[in-house]
Amino acid sequence: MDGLNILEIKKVSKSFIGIDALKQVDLTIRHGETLALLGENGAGKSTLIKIILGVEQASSGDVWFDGNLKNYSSPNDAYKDGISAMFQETSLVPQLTVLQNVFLGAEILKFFGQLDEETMLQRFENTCKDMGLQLDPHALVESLSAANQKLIEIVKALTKKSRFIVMDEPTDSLSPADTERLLNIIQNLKSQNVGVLYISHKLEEVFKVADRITVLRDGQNVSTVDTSKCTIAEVITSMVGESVETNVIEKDEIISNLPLLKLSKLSVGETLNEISLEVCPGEVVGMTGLIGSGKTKLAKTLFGLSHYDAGELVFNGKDYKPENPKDAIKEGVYLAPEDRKTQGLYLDFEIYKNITITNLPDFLGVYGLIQSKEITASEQLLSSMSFRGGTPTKRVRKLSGGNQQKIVVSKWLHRQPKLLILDEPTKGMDVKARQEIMNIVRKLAKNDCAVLYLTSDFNEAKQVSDRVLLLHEGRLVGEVEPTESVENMMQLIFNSETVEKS
Amino acid sequence: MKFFLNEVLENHLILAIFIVFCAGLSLMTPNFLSTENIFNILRQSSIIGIIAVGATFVIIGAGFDISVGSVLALCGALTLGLQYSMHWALACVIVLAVGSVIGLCNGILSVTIGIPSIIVTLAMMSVVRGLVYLYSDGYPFTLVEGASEGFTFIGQGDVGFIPFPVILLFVVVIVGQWFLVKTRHGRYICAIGGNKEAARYSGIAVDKYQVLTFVIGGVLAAIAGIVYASRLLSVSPLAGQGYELDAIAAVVIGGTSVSGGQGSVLKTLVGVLLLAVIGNTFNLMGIPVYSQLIIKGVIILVAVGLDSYARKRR
Repeated sequence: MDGLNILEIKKVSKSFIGIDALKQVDLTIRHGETLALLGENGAGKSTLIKIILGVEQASSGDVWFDGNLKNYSSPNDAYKDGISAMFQETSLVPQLTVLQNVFLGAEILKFFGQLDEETMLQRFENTCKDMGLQLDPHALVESLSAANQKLIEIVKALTKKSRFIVMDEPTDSLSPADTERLLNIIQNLKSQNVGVLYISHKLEEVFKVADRITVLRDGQNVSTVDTSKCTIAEVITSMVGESVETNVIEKDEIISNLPLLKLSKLSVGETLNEISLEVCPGEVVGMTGLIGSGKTKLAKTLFGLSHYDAGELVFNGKDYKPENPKDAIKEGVYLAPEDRKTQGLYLDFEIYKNITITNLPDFLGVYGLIQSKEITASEQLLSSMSFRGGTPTKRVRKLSGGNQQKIVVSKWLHRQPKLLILDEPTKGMDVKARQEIMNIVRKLAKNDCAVLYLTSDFNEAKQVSDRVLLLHEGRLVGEVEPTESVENMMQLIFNSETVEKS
Repeated sequence: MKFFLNEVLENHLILAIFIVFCAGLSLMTPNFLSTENIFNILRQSSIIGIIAVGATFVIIGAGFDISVGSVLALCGALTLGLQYSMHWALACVIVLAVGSVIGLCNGILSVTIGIPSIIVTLAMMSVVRGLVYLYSDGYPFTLVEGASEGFTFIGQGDVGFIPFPVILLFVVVIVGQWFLVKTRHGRYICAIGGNKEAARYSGIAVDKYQVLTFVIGGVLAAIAGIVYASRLLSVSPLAGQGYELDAIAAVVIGGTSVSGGQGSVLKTLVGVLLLAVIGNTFNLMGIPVYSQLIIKGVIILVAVGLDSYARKRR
């Protein structure tokens, strides 16, 4: 180490049960430098952050901090050394004041363990002055804007004399003006000799704030470049790479052309803005976009869990305004939700109970529910989905993610779905399980079911869909053929952002 | 054999303990297994047992109801009081309605308004107990004379050689178990307790079913109040105090998860009987009531502790 670098990562690899999340990744950040870490969803960015902070440990390779070998085994050790982290979600306590939050867990004490308010206030104000900020130390955090909360997290890091801050999508919930303010503050950090690892999917911001850019793809280093010496297009190319289609999913011709679902200028609060689209029976429509695109909100609205305030929604030739999931289910609209563990499954129930819960009246006999009938029906359904997780009396908690997802999907199949909405159906699955889920989706389409397939994986959307819609910050910004390159899709999304701002 | 042992330990642990306990007792005290003693224990457990069936539903639906002791007292007092002006059967019908309305209030306040159910029913415990004092003027309510034979049969009668309250208990348990396991309503209640969010995503009317569990709890507390009144023909304003603890103890000893979602009415019955047998033994051994209270509290903590700790480590 030459003393130039605050953080150095050397040949770090990490594998989870046989799948490589990171392969021999190198990364260096100099004192006072802002380095942007870029990559598509699943490129290994979050795994790398977790290893830096000691949340997870590398399978091999080393993390050096400030010239010393430090393979942190817990986040506390990392924090003690002066590493701070900011995540999308704020980690402040909303009910406490700004000052209380800034010193939370690191309070300054005077005699008899009393809090030394004056010294803390003094220090807080010094930091604010250095940063050119004006913040009320006694305001409650919950009364502040999202942007100010982010600033307080930075102040908190600096008050603790942090010399290195990890920022994961810090501008995600901020307005353009607030983003601008935050970016200025981050640039200011250079003069304080604080290193920053900046993760964002907003390339324009990255080019404003970062000194260098490191790109990860499929858990490997692709390139590290000086921001001043490259263009946005070059960076996109290195993020996407030459897309490797592993397996082609078979698609059938669509016969019917009468739309089953039709949205015209549908708006929901500030999350969705004038969405217009059509889905026909037998068609798989993919919808993809970056974090915060609003696709989950769309899924919830169609399933009656959110309500739209403007626009029209027509399903099966009739006006459609579901008040709750029951209304949606009555029409044959089903949702396999994003978070299977909290929204999709009863983990302590047997498999068959998870499947039949949507259609219990079918299993009623004279004396009530007939368990054997439930089990047989579940068995048939599962075998049609090439399920290999065990018998229907096994508890769902014990199954793998892929098998659990098959149950989330199959609980709707015995009701003959007209429209099936899948929200991130392959989250956390390996390649093979993904393929199987996609094959099931195509099989459904073959049987005239309309499918709305929401995913943040661009390649997956291309693989499974007949058409791909691009959603960005609540707007539809494009529709492309599944043969379109990921690069062009990213470009479309990115262009929409520039158009908006000019 | 190993599989059998695991099956017993995992699913029928409480039944196994109960059987071993009873076997031990019958060796030590020969007349423990006499018909008379068995029916004695059963008759004593009938009132707590009926309340505990209601508590099973509430707890499976991820709620808590500690107002049942007060509800029992109010319903008992009303059963006697109303009979001065009407036929006993009509009085019982009114009392059942009162029990269900109190349950409905508990349900609406906790589910629809969103107050934690333990707070709602804690407040309701106080409100209802106050009503009992108001209604009875602070004195025990007694049906001095003219208790009709039909009414006294509920708490004191026998069918053949089986006491009627025991028959009532078994009917409540069997219907309760059937409702829980064999109807979709029972399945929905389990689903809601197991994962409320997922239940909503499955299109289940979550609020309605959670309120229903409190109504079931209220009605069964009312039935228990009627049995109580009929058996003693006198209801003091303090009647039923601490019954909620006994009922909840029986439910958790029976393996119903305090976090909701899983449970069995049949096992609750085993829990009730085990507690009754333990109480019976303590009395025989001359252990004072105060110590029994301590032991009961410890039993609850151990039963819930085992379940919660297993969950935490998973």
